[in-house]
Amino acid sequence: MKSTKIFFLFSTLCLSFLLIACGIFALERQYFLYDLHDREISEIVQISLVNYINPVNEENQSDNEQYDVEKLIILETLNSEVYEDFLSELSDIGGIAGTFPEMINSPNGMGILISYQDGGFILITVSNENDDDCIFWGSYSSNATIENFFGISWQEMIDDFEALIVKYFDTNID
Amino acid sequence: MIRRIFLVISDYITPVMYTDSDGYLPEWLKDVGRFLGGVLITVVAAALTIASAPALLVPELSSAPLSSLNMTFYGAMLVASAFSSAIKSDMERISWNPYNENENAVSQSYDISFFKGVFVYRFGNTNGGGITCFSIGLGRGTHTDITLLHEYGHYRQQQLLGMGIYTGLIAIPSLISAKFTPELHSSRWYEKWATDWGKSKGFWW
Repeated sequence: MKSTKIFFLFSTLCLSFLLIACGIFALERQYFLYDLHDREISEIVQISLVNYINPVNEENQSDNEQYDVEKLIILETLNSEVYEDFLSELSDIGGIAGTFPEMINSPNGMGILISYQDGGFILITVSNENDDDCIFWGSYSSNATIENFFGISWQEMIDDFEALIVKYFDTNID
Repeated sequence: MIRRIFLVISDYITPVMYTDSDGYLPEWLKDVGRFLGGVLITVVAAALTIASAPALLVPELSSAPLSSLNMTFYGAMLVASAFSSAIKSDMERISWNPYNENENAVSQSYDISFFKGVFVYRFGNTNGGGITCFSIGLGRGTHTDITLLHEYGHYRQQQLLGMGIYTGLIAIPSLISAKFTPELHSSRWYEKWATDWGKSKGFWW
């Protein structure tokens, strides 16, 4: 009886060790383009369709990583009356997935800029890198320092994001 | 009456310690109470966990050791709260209730929390995500409720299937899927099941 108990205990310990060890390498991650819990909608001053021109600079990669307002072109600004609907739909894009490999670490291409009263902002762009469509999401502080980001190739998320842009903006993004 | 006396006394003396907002008990006395209560809960729950550990591998019966294991963590957190203001603040967020059902309070925690009797620990810095193995691990970047509910769904799968079947049928396939086919991960049957079950309010379904 005692040996059975020890066997079960040992098996459980082995299982938990296995799970935790595997889990370190393969976590479930959440990827969302907007978190409604993060800030009040009243804090938003502007939501714009933008083009962030940031071609890869092989010689100086930090040039790509650092946000540069001169690379940003505002194409269209969203009417504030539809902020709530737009953000609600934006927050639905993404979900829980496996861990995507990080493809890019800086914004590039057409996307959305959400600017806050305190100077902080969220920049989301879509670009094609080495034949893969990639989406970059970055949260920046008021001094344009990046606080959190991901740059992944998740086609479903990119398709949903582009469909949202087409729905809310008049500018042709093709 | 006691409160009145306390308020009268406090008019004449300079407060030298932090007291609770109601003015009933000094904070250090609460810490002592939580420490002693925490030690008691930890010891009893740990003994129950060890005694019922074999049931971890038995479908449905695994609820018992899983619950007592998470209560062991609760006792340990009560003890730790006497020494760590961060843990105390996380525990206050859920009103010290291990059966807390407020997802938002859990998502806003920094180090630890409890959700429906399950210990939740936070890891990493800014990334959102999660893992379930006896208890729930949530990345510190997780602010939405969806991940917590999904991981709670996995916890319920552990309760139903026992750790043996859960590991073979769900945990290992889930970890492989998360690593190698991240774009398909959320559409796997065991992941959809976890999401649906985590959101459902019923005990089993």
